[in-house]
Amino acid sequence: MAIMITDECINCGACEPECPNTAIYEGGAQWSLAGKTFGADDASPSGAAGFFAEDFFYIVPDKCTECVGFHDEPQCAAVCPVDCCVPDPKHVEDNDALLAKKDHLDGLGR
Amino acid sequence: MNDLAEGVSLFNNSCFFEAHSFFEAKWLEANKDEKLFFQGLVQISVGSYHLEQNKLTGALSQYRKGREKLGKYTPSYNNLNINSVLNQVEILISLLEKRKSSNIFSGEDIIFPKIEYIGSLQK
Repeated sequence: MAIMITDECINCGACEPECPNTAIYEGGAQWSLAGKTFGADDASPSGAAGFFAEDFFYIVPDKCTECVGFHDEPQCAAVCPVDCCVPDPKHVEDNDALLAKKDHLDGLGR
Repeated sequence: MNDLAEGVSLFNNSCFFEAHSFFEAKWLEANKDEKLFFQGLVQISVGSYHLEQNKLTGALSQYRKGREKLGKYTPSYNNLNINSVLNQVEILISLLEKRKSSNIFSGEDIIFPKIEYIGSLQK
């Protein structure tokens, strides 16, 4: 499943540069995928919604592969000092699905 | 001067965000034996920060996480009285659990924890 950031986030920013998929964005910032930019009210191409956050960092489910294909564990969770990067129960994906997502993102050029 | 003095001072002066930054830096460079100790201090700091912001759910979660990690370093570690911190955090956890449903926060009976030293190295 994708990783999500809970509202315990203290905005230290440690996670953002660690993400190999650039799936993590600062609270309130627009996010992008395949050359398109999305805002607070926009659903993602997969239809995912409700992941945008104004006050703390957030992860775009369409772009999160839990670091499958890159690392042995999600790097955002590994570097988070407050353990607020947790599995997202709304976006449950098995390893094959995550690998397929990675391949898809590779094709899009992120 | 104790290496942790700056962080302890920040924490005890209720500069919880700054304290978390200090302890986070220590956490990043800590060896395996000390990782959880510094992370526990980060989480107690962040819990206190969230409590200041009236984010009770976040505060409770962070205090619980910090309690679990610091619980491995009792009664004292790095000249800090861990038992004392945990006792104070336990009181806040109990208070927050009681108020969880109402989300009403009155700052009058909230006493933020203080980190104490063991012995007389620092006051």
